[in-house]
This record gives sequence, structure tokens and C-alpha cells, in this order.
Amino acid sequence: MTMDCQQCSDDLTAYIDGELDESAARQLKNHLETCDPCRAEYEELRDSATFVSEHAAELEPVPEIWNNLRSRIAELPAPAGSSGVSRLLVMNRWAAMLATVAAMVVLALGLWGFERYEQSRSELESYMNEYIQMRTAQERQYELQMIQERANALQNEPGAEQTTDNPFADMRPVALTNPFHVEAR
Amino acid sequence: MRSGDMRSLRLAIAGAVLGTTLFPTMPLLRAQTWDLNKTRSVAESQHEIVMILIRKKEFDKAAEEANKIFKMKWPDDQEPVLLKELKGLADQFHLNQQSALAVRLLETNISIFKTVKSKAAIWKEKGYLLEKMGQHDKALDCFREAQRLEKNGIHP
Amino acid sequence: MIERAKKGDIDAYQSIYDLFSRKVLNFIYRMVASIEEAEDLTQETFVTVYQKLESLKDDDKFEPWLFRIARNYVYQKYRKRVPPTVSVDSQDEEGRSASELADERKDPQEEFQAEELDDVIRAVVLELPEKYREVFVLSAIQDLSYQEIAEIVGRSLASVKTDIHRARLQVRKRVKEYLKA
Repeated sequence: MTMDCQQCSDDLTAYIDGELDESAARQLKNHLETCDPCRAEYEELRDSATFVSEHAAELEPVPEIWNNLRSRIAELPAPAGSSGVSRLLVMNRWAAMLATVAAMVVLALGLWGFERYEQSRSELESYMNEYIQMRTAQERQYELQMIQERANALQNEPGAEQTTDNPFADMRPVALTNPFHVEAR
Repeated sequence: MRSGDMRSLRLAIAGAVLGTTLFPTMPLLRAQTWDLNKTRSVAESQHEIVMILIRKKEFDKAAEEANKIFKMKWPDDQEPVLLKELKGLADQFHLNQQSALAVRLLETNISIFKTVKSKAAIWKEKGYLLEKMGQHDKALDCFREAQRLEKNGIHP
Repeated sequence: MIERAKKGDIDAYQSIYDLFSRKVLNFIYRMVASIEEAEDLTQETFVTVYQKLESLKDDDKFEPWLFRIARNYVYQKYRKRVPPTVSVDSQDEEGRSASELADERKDPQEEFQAEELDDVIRAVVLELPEKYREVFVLSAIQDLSYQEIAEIVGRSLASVKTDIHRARLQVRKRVKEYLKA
């Protein structure tokens, strides 16, 4: 099926943005190969799009935005479900039903057994959360370094982000320091 | 290519040459008295190979090569270095959205560790990864095992 | 990360902020043409996001949801004040323009040229009617997909596609005129 110039014109921007499906894109491409006016329009639109994306300056968020935001968030009440225990009581009806049934079974077994179970589980959750918080903080540090290094790379070397396929160039993970190399020295 | 990458590539090539000669002879290494310096040198190169494979997103191959580090014959006093390496490599897989591979790496290689401290550390790391994968109950099991090890110092 | 933020983990929320604040700031800036206002509205957006994060059912839809909130703040502002006149000299309180703030490492010659070109783009974008401006900014500058844009602006995919095309045609025409002048 061939395409007419009006249809081609209507679809040009979507074609440039990669938003046409394969069949429509192929039809349009074929039309451009044989129609000079449409090809000229395509090139103008494409160049204009390139101009905008290359020269539209981007603001960097100043630190004050986050600092003020953080202060305001600190004054807000904590979101619901922020504790490990309340997570068990989420909006899921089936989970709530199962929790009720489990509680009844535990009650039937005896109060002192239920108390002992809760105490050891609570200790375990604390033990787990302590480790998770430590590792989460480490991961966050890696993410921040990655963001910073990507920002630096973009500022120093236009197109650098496209030339490297190395996610570890932007990170400083634990294993990047080769433990066998360091200790051998 | 950056200078760091060049260095890694050179080490990897050296390791590959050394590795292809050494690995086929691994049964001999196990049987013979080991040479720590040589082992460490091979491990160092192997580490670089793993990092390059991860960088190239060849994760299955990277995991395969990573396991080789822990299959080498190591004296007991090298356990802290190996623990650091195991946790570090698992973290690499995790940071590259390959948490399942990270868990498998820990599971495959925990048996070479003798001390309670090392085993508990690996169980905790596994628990952390499983929690990140949304497997809360399995994560709790891992932390329970780590807690038991740390309290009792006994491995079944 | 979003799941952790929903539970009140501030560090996780900061990670979310670090990943998206630049995009949101620049979208708002292109709509309101004032750096200070864009910074204020960005802050408001992220406060609201924090408060309402739990109501987000599908974490994969976070970005369009975030931009909808930002967009709502932009339109609240528009109802309260006169639409901005086209100004090629939009600067922050310290007298710096967007292109200066964006990159402070270019040499003076490059900086002047970049500033001029950005001024052209800014003027051209501000001339667009609001309906076209937002889809233009989201597609050409923020690089979102048409589907995501349709979710953000609450219109059909076909309508968004048409509006983006019309916006781009207008921008092409005006860019040519500015550069010739």
C-alpha cells in the first residue's frame, strides 16, 4: 500500500521520534525515497528537532531545592506502612484474612507460645533491618557516585555517555578494587 | 578506551593466557602443594576477566568465570580475602540487575568457607539480596541462619 | 527504591529525587519561563509526590505520574498570573541565564553562542500555545514517549501525536525566522 503526501506529512514527526509502527515507518520511508517535497520537509523537521535537542540548555537543580524539600518532608507525618509490622497489615484483603486466621491459630496454641514467637521474630526482623539499612546506605552511595560521574562526564565530554558501555566506569563498587591485587603488594 | 580499561584488558589477556595453561591442570594443582603467589596472581587476572565480562553484560559467562576463583586451592588464612571477593562480585551482579545470579554465586561458593564469621556474613548478604528480590520469607530464613550461627557458632 | 520510599525511607526518596529532579525542573522551566518559579514548583512537586507516593499503585507508572503532578502545579500557577511574555533575557536572581547555569565550563565564546541559541529556543517555545508547548517540551526536550505523554496530559495518543506534530511545525518555522534575522 502506498502513502500519499498528506498522510506522510502528518506522520513525519512521529517517524522522526521513532513512534510509528514498523509497517507505517516502512511505507513512509519508501515514500520519502520517491517524493522530493516530502523528503525536503522531513529534512527540515529533522534538522529543527536536532537543533532543539542540541541547543536547549538544561538547568541543574540547586542544592537548596533538596535542602528545603527535606526540611518540609521532616515535618510531615510518616507514610502509613513505614514499620515492618504494619507492612503485614496492608490493603491486600487476602493477606489480612490469612493474618487473622494465623492469629487465631496462635491464640489456640497458647498465649505464652505466641508471646515467645513474637519476641523472637521481632528480634530477627531488627537483626535483618539493621543489615539491610547498612547495605541500603552503601547502595545509595554507589548510585550518587554514578549520577555525579555521569553528570561530570556529560559536562566534560559531550557524547561521552554514548561512547562508553561500561556501567562500572561510573561506579566505585567494592569489588572494583581487586582484593588479590591489593593484598599482594 | 580509558587507561583503567586498558590496564584491565592487559591483565585479563595475561590471565587468559595463564589461565588456559593452569586451569586444565587444576586437578594437579589440587593434588600438589600449592603456590600461593601463583594462585593469587591467577585469581587477580580472573577477577579482571569477570569484571570485563560483566561490563560487556555477559553475565552468565561472568558468573562461570567467577566460580573458578573459589574452586582454586586456597589456604585457610586467605578466607577474608575470598569473602571480600565473593561479596564484591555478588554486589556487582546485583548492581547490574542480576540479583538471581548473585544469590547463586553465594550459594555455590559458601561451602569453601570454614569460619562461622564468613558463613554468617554470606547468609546475611544472601538474605539482603532475596529481600531486594521481594522474597521476604526466604530472606528471613537466611538472616535466621546467620543469627543462629553468630549466637551458637555451630554449623549443622 | 520506590517501595522503600513508600515506607518512609528518606534515603530512597532522595535517590528518586536525584534521578528525576533535573527532568522535572526543566519541564517546568520551559513552561513557566522563570528559573526561580521553576525551582519553587519543583520543590512543591516533590513534596506532593512524597505525600502521595503511597497512592501510586503501579511503580512502573511513576514517571508519568510525577509529571502529571508537576503539570498540575504549572497550570495552577497559570491560573493565578498573566501568561509570560516572550523574553529572551530570562535570568535568575543572580542575573544568570539558563544556559549559563546549565554549563559553567564553556569558554566565553562558546558560552555566548550557546546562550544565544538557547534564547532562540526559549522564545520559540514560549510562543507556543500551552497545549502545544507542554507536549513539545515533553517530547522534544524531555524525550518521553508519546504513550507516556498521553498519560501525563490526559489525552488520547492520536491527539498527542497530532499536537506534537503541529508544535514541531510551528517551532521549525519560528526557528528558521529567528536564525535568519
